[in-house]
Amino acid sequence: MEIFKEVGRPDEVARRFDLAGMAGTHAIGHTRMATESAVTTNGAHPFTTGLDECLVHNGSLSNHNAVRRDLIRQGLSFQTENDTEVAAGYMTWKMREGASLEQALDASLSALDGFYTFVVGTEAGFGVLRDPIACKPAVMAETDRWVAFGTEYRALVDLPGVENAKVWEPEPARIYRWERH
Amino acid sequence: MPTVDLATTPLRELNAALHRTKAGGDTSWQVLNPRGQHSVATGVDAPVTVEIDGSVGYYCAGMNKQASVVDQRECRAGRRREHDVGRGSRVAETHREPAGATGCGGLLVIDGNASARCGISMKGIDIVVKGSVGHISAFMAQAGNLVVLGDAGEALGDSIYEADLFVRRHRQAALARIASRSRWPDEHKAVLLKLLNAAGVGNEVDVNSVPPLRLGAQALPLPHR
Repeated sequence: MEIFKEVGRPDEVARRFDLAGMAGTHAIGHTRMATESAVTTNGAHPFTTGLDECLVHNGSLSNHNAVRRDLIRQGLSFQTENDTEVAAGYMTWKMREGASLEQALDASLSALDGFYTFVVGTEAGFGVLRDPIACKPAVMAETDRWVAFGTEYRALVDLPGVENAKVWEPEPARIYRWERH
Repeated sequence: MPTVDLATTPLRELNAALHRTKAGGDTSWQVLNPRGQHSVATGVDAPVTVEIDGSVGYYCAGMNKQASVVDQRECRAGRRREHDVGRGSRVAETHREPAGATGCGGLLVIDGNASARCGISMKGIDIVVKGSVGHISAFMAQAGNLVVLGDAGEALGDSIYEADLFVRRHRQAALARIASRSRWPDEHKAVLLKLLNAAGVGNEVDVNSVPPLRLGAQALPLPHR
């Protein structure tokens, strides 16, 4: 898994990293609107939750400072003031303590307070979770060949075959997961 | 009938042309290839019908007076404010919350499912959903009617004011506890029948199968795990 982060317009950042020249089985993209900390390259998502794991977040957490303090006591360290980095750290900590990704996501529903749609990328696939109130938008689309997540349908509109895809809104507080085998 | 292809025509030109239309001008418009764009056919103040072929984004038919907006396929529609009482909007299905939000009047018909927060803060609009609605629908609904022929998700009618909700099935055990279905006045049945007729299902749906939910004045508990 490789992570590319930069500050700038999405089309320029995509060009700078030559996204069009890349190939792979899955990818996660994120354009950040900073709510809890400054606009910096380090503050951009995704944050890595562990080897071959990353997390992007739409929303803002409200108890991230308290959770960060607890995680620091557990031995984790943080590079930014970013709330999403705390969510990523929480997942890492839970999995270090033996939880699966699903269990870590499930635990986060009670441990993390605030608005969130999380998309977690792993080596084998990705997972989606919306908080129980789910005010932040989310839409998913699936065909025989691909599955995709977006905040708006417009993000999915260029995918091949999307007009015949199964499209749905993920339910709140429910973990969705796709893996390659 | 003007046909506007949004694959080649900027959306602003469509909306500007609709804004310039007065009564007596072109009354039927067709819009192609919206491809999820936001704000399609917003701010229309003329008795026209706009048929959209394809999926739209937020605010479709928002700030609408007098127009009818029909999306034959799917509408990922967002908020709309409909002041009109005579005309209305019809969409096939919407995955984008919140359909009919803050609507003041008119009729919104959704042939399939609506997603979360359908009818949030509705202020007089009538909404008929032939499928199901998602969570927190009719949140803070002040006035108007929401008819759901399928399921309603969690926290239906949280913090509701005086809007009336008619739901055929629901999953919430908590909702069943405070809803009373034993008797309902004929005038409610008449309202419901009128809405079902306007939505084109008056002959197919038994009015007695879609009872009103009488929700308590207190807010429902928000969903939690």
